[in-house]
Amino acid sequence: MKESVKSKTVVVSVIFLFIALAVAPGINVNVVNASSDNDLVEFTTEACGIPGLKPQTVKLTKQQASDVEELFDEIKNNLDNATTKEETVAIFDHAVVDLDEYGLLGGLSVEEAQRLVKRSYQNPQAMNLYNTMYGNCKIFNGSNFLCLIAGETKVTRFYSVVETGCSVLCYFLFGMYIVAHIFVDDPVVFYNIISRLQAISNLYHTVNSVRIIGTGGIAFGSSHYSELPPPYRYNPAVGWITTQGVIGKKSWNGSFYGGILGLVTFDSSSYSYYIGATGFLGIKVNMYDGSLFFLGSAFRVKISPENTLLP
Amino acid sequence: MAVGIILLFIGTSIIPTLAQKIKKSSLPTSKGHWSYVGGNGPGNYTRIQDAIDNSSDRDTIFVFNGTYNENIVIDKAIKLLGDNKNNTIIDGSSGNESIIIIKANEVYIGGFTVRNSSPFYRGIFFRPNCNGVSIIDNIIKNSRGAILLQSSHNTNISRNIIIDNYNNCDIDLINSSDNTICRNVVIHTSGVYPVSISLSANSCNNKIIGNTINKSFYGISVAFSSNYNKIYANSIRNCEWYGIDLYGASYNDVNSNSISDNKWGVFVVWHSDHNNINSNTISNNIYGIRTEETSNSTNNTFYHNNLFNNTINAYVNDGSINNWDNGYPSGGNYWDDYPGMDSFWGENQDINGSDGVGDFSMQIPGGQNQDRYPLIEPYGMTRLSFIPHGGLGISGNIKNVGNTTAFRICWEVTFNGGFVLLGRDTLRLIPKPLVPGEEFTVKSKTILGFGKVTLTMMLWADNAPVIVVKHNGTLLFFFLFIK
Repeated sequence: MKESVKSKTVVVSVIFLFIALAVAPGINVNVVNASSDNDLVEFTTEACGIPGLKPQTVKLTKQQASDVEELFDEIKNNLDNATTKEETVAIFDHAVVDLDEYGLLGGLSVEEAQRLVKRSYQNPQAMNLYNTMYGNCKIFNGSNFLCLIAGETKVTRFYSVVETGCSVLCYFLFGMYIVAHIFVDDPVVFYNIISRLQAISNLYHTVNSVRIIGTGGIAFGSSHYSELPPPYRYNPAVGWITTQGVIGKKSWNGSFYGGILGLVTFDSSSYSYYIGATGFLGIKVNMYDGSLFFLGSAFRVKISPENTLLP
Repeated sequence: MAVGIILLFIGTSIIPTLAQKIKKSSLPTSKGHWSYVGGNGPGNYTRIQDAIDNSSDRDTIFVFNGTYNENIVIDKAIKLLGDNKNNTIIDGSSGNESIIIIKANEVYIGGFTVRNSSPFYRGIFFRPNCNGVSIIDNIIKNSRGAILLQSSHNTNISRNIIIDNYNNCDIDLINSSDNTICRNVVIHTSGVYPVSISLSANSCNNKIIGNTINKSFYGISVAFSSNYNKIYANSIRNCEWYGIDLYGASYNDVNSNSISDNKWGVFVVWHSDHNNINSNTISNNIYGIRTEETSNSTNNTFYHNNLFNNTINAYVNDGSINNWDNGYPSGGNYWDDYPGMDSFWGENQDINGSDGVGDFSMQIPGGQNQDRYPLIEPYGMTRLSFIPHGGLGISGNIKNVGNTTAFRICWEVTFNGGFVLLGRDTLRLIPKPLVPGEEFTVKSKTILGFGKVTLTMMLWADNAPVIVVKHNGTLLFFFLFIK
């Protein structure tokens, strides 16, 4: 009997030993991952369309950052598979809840964010009007109106109404330069006046930083002006965009430019972006790799696979 | 109990494996089904698209010689093989799309002429995220750009002839990384600012190797945060503007290219930093190398380039200061307009004797840059020899037995076997370059030990291949006897 107990004890010990041997490497793998999670990754998030709200910075572990990326992919896949407006709305609502888990709602509550991202979309009178006007129009293949919009893209900038106005002013003044060059014999005085006006227009950067007016749009892809040939170099936005609106469901994937007539200028007049969405209200998330994720609604979206607006 | 222990052994070996993420290879094999297009065989398809529609992943579609007027969409991991690239023609002129649209991973296309896209579309168009695709040994012509990759990785585009395309980039990588663009011939690209090979929008870690580019607007353009690319051994001629253009691109390696008869040879511009431009032959351009609007950094490095017959060999049109040599004894660049002599050697060029390096620096026009160690002769490969002797340690003469100066010569001796207490490994740098025929006596550090040993000697230079020599010997305290 004593021998039997001893034998059983040995067997049980051997079993435990093997289990320990088997499990230990698995535990070690997790330990390595956990130790590398100490580095934090910064995300900047902002609620666009709520006056006075400032961008917020959220620090996540690398594991959480990876989870956020997976979340964005999941949102894309869900939107790709959605066939009705109701499904799209449900995905947006759910996405807001998921973003809230990582603190990526720009300081809004879940309910506030859900209202914000669907605000333009929930105007039935406007929807009906635009549907009557444009709903069956085939020339709007690359467009959508009054739509829910989500995407994750690079080479993308958000702009405010102030920037739009100042960009228009810059282009107007550039036109004046050309007119002066052609028609005025001694344009020095004329140039001086325009230069001062242009300096004033550059104040828009300061104005923009105040963020009094949050509603603006999204510009996709850029052009860089250079005095050397070629005069313009084009850098497309890269990523995906999905919309659901008056024209139905419209998606873009790969590389593209904003297609709405007009450029928005940042930083200097030699550096412009192509407007692709106007009247954007919603959440945007700046990712550490330069990508921008956005979820919201827009008045109008127009995307072109090639740069059709020069420069 | 025995069975239990065996099962536990199996469990022990499996569980650690399960704990790690395994990346499965998805390379296509030749195990799939073969189908045929054209020819006279029973059951052969007449349209390539029909064969694709009826295929599955890993199938092979063989297309016999003929002209196929269709635009095709490949949405499976198949091999599409043409009978002969000159006579198996896919003509897209009747369609309103790109000639070939790729929508799947692991596609292989080889042996076709792909020609005549409709005016606004490319020859071969990758939908985003198509990875592991191979485009090999085709002719792509008369299209508005030959190949566009978007967010596609691990692609191999090799040995294609790309000719007479217009108004766009011939091989256009947008946000695409880890691709190989190798030994293609890209000629006569025309229209509005066309580029033969373009990397843009974060296209990183690509290899652009051994391509021949003739007559374009730009040869190779690397732009907009396209970093860590390797651009090796390409021949770029007759470009209307730039041979190689780095625009907002950093950490790229531009090495051993032949860049001639362009307006500007190498153009580094707009926040392009930490690029390494070395061992290129840059000739017969108006500007050999020109920098503009770099971000005032000191981190682009130009060395071992041969600059000759350019109207202006190099010009710096901004305030940036870059490195125009690789230090001593590695040296700088060869300038055919360098006016100096070679009577001294050393880091300060103040020791009597020649070293293949000019005695004073070469000023780069347009700024404050200088090549401190300009080469007296064109940079090229040479050969070294080393015959070791035993005695108190190892000694011997290293000799340059080639025809050009050898720069930054290193040698290393390692002992294996025996009982070596001191000096098991010696790694040394010869303090000066060796001109052809010149010898330099070297000696290892003190060796102490005993027993039979194997000596492994390695010798190399910036421009000489590695020589590895093994000798057997006997070590007796401080003395080494080499057999």
